[in-house]
Amino acid sequence: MNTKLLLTGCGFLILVALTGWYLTSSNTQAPAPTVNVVAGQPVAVTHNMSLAKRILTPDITTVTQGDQVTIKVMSDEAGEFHVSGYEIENNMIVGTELSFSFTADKAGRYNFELHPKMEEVEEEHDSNATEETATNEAEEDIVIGAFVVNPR
Amino acid sequence: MRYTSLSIGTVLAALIPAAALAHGFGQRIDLPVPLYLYLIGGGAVVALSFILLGLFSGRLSELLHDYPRFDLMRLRWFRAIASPIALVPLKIVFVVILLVALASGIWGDQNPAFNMLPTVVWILLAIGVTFFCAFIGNIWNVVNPFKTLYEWAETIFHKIGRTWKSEPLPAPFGLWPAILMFFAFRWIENVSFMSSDPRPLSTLVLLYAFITFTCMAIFGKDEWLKRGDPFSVFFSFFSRFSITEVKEGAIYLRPPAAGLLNQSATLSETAFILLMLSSVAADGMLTTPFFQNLFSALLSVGIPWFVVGTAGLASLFAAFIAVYYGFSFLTKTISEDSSSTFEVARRFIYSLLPIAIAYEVAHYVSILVIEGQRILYLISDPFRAGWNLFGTADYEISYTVLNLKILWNVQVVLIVIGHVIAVMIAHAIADRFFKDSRKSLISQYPMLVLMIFYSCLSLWIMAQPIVAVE
Repeated sequence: MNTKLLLTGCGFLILVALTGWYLTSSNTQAPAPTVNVVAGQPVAVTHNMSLAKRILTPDITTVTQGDQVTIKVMSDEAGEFHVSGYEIENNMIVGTELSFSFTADKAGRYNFELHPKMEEVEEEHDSNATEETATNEAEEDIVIGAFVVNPR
Repeated sequence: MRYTSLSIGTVLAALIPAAALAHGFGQRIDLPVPLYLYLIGGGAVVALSFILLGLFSGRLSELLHDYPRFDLMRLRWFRAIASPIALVPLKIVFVVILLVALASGIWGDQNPAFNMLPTVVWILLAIGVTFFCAFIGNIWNVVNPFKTLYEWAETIFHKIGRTWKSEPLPAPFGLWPAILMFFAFRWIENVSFMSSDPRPLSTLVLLYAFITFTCMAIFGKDEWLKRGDPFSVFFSFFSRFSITEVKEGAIYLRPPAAGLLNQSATLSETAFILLMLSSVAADGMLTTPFFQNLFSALLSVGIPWFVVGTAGLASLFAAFIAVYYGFSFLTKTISEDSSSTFEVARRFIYSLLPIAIAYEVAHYVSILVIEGQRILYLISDPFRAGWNLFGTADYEISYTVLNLKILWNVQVVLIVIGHVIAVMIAHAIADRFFKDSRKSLISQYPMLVLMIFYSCLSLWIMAQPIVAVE
């Protein structure tokens, strides 16, 4: 019976310590406007990326919820740059930098996707094939990176 | 927090070129559980194990064994909704969902986001029905559309005077056909690259339907569903945790997890449960940086992905068997009981289910909540033909329904609760099995270590950044 009492006591001690730790750590994690004003406020950030041979560098962009995000992409391929979840789609033109801004209001991990344009196929075939290319274009979702929005 | 997020991002960035491991279907939007929560969860698991070991007494175990049951058939409204006639519309709904999803897979838009089949298979069936079975009861036994279609066909054949006799599945087969097919299912989900592509998926569903109908005709419907059909077996194991129990035509309400007591699994049942446990962990585990690094190292040597992925899934299964058998051996040795290791293994295997269920829910709840919304626009326009049957065709998935900070806490709390239930069930099983209270207490140490390890593994997986891009 004594062992049992000892075990219970140990367990409770650990549990109390953990509760204390949880309360203090969640306090520091929570937005604390009085302590750390600068880090707690949303900021405007710009992320430059390049897309070469369908490889995005850097392929992970991390921001904090609420940030005003500007994304700039230089691509060697024409097509649509898609931020899934945010449903932002923009056309990329080879040789011109694509730039767009939005507020990262949704926390989570979202994909950067490329919807390539299939110009070569369009030129090769007759009008009959154009229709098919159009559907193909809509189908191809190539995941090229991730957009990570940490919760505030 | 800023620094943590930065470091997570850096880690992710460094690991992205690793092999992309395809997960069934649906994008995870949840982020890894932060380190402090992971440590607190792990600590709570250990602390509560101590407390339970100290507080648990023979009386509590007897109380668990003589759990209260309530006969739902005594309620008139329940009798009404559980009557065979009232269930017909529900069965029809599931048959229609299956047929429309299949047609959508074959002829519909081949973009997985606009096709019903991937969502029906990977979200509705693999996650939705699993959750329902684990908590409410074995709904699959009622709504299984393959069973319904077979019953209808059987009735028609009987009407036109055609009957056949089924041969029972030979006893040595045990659950092995189900084990084989369940492994194939998890392989398609985690290893093959076609899990989310509608047309290949519809071929697989048709193949499954063909196997199921043929085997039901040969071995008998109930026999096959009980021992050969991977989903029926899977759902029936999960539903032992649930709050309802079907016995001799009556339906009883019982406390959750009570159905895990007084069980004794056969060899193949033990193997199936271990496969279930390992495959529930596989989806999360194989996308952790550790495994992705291992995989990319193997791939760079020139070993093809199918070999690497299959080996990964199989070795995870083997590891679960080895570890569980090892701990059963320890339990047997430390308690100095005369029973064999296998006898211990088959008695305690069910006590691990609560942790698996807790992990399953913690891991998949975000996908169910986010990707499950797809069904709203898909049912209005299953073929992307511009229809709007229910007026929901223009529905857009809302990502804000999920608060990540709340989700993290829920995930950790779920694992801790699952662990506590598992430990209590193991205690109660030990009290009955060993009869001697000293033996029963001592026998708990190895199982407790195993459970702490398993719960912490579940927490660890959730604290890992997800590496695979797709």
